[in-house]
Amino acid sequence: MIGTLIKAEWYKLKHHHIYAILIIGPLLTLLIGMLNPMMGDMGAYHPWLSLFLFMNLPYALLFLPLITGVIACIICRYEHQAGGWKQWATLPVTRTQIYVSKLILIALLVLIIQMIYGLVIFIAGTVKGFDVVFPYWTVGKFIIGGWLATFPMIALQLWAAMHWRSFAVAFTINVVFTLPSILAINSERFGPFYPWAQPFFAMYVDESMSGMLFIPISQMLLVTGGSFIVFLVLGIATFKQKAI
Amino acid sequence: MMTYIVQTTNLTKQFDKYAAVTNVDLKIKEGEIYGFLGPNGAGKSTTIRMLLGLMKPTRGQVTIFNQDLHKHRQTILRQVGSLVENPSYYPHLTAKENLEVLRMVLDVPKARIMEVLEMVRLTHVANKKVKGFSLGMKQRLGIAQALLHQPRLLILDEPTNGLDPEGIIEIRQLIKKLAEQGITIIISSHLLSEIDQIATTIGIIAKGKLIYQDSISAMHALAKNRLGIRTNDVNQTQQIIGGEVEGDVVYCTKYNNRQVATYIAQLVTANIDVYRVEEEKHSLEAIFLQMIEEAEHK
Repeated sequence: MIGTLIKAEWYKLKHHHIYAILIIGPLLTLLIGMLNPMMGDMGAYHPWLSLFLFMNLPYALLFLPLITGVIACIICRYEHQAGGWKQWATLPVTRTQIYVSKLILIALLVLIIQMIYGLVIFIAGTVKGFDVVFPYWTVGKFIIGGWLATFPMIALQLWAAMHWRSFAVAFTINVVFTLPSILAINSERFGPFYPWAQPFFAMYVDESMSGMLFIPISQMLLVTGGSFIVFLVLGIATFKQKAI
Repeated sequence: MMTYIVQTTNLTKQFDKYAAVTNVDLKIKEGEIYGFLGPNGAGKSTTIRMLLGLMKPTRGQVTIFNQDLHKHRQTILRQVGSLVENPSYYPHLTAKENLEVLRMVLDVPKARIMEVLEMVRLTHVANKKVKGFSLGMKQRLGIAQALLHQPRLLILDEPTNGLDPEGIIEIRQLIKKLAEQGITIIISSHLLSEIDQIATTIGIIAKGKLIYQDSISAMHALAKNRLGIRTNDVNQTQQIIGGEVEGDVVYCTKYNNRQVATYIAQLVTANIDVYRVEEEKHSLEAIFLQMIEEAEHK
């Protein structure tokens, strides 16, 4: 049933220019990375590493969380417009199925964004003519790690977007939580515990390039996993109780 | 024991201090067109929302197809089509796409989409985006959506709202046709005339309470006309012609032209002064309004 619901959700995105939204984050990042004058002064470093350094920062800290929020808003917007929730809730499916199918679709779309980002990096490095082999393993790690790290945001954004009719309110919440990440990553004490900063940590490439992911598994499970479950459970509970 | 396709027991919805629906016991038999009548804000939509599980009752039980809605919601909803208040649709999708989205979840053959569009006469705009539709067209699309999975029970909340007279007649004919196919239909309205023309059973709700529930013919029986005779002597008049006394008027319910002439002749012979002989037309409308008024003053 969930599979059918996800397909139906995807069908509803018709005429929404969703591809443009999927591609905008990686493209903006590319622009910023390419325009950065410091890019040229990194000669002594591993070229891919310095590329990651310049591009992953704005991408993981800003564009990825913001676009995740935008997608969550879009996926709920058409339900708010003209009684969509009402119609969907009178179908022979449970509310949990409805909620989870939306969540999975958002997660899949974010995964597509991550893959586009990987492709963009590859193209950027190739165009620049890097003489070192593309570090597939490293890129694969931060793409998947960064993706997993967005799950709590997806859950919270979906909850907010479902609850508030207004696109503006849900999006503001997204921005309000995203911006403090810039401060959080500079704090050794709070940074590792701030859910919105997790994509940054998950995509932060250190020089050793070791480990399963770039952050300790315990932090991944505790912060990302923990906050994801809390937001998911609260979101589902709210949706189940909601009088439509 | 009589079995009902929809039955509610003590159905109650309380919002903070305001009781929207109080102890409503609906009893709806299979194959009926049940007219759910009540003024705006009487609790019709709240009741319907609870029938569909869109809203949880504060108290009471909903049984549909002899199954508890709370426990078997999905099995029940698979056989229920509904249109609640304003039609629901995705404005950015075409009429056909709107139906396709539902079709995917309901798992019915693709051909059914054109069938239902044909039924509500929307085939000519099947590929147009719904945001450009008139209210009447949206309403008809809503009915098409409700019919997509060939439901056993159809719940239509104010389906003729915002339709022009022609549209209303069309919807009415469609509902009658569906009822002939054996679908049980609940149709709510705040207009008595609307319900009167179509329903087989009527339930009247006012201030959250179900104040009347019976066949439409029983309601019509209440609406019988009566003859009022005012004379200078009420008691003697009643002795001669029978009937009931209300104030200084004697009313009788069974009369024809012949009898009226006889009554007058008898009264005149008995030396009673006849002031007025009036037929009082008790319309269905008047009875309805009286019921509502009584409920509101309680």
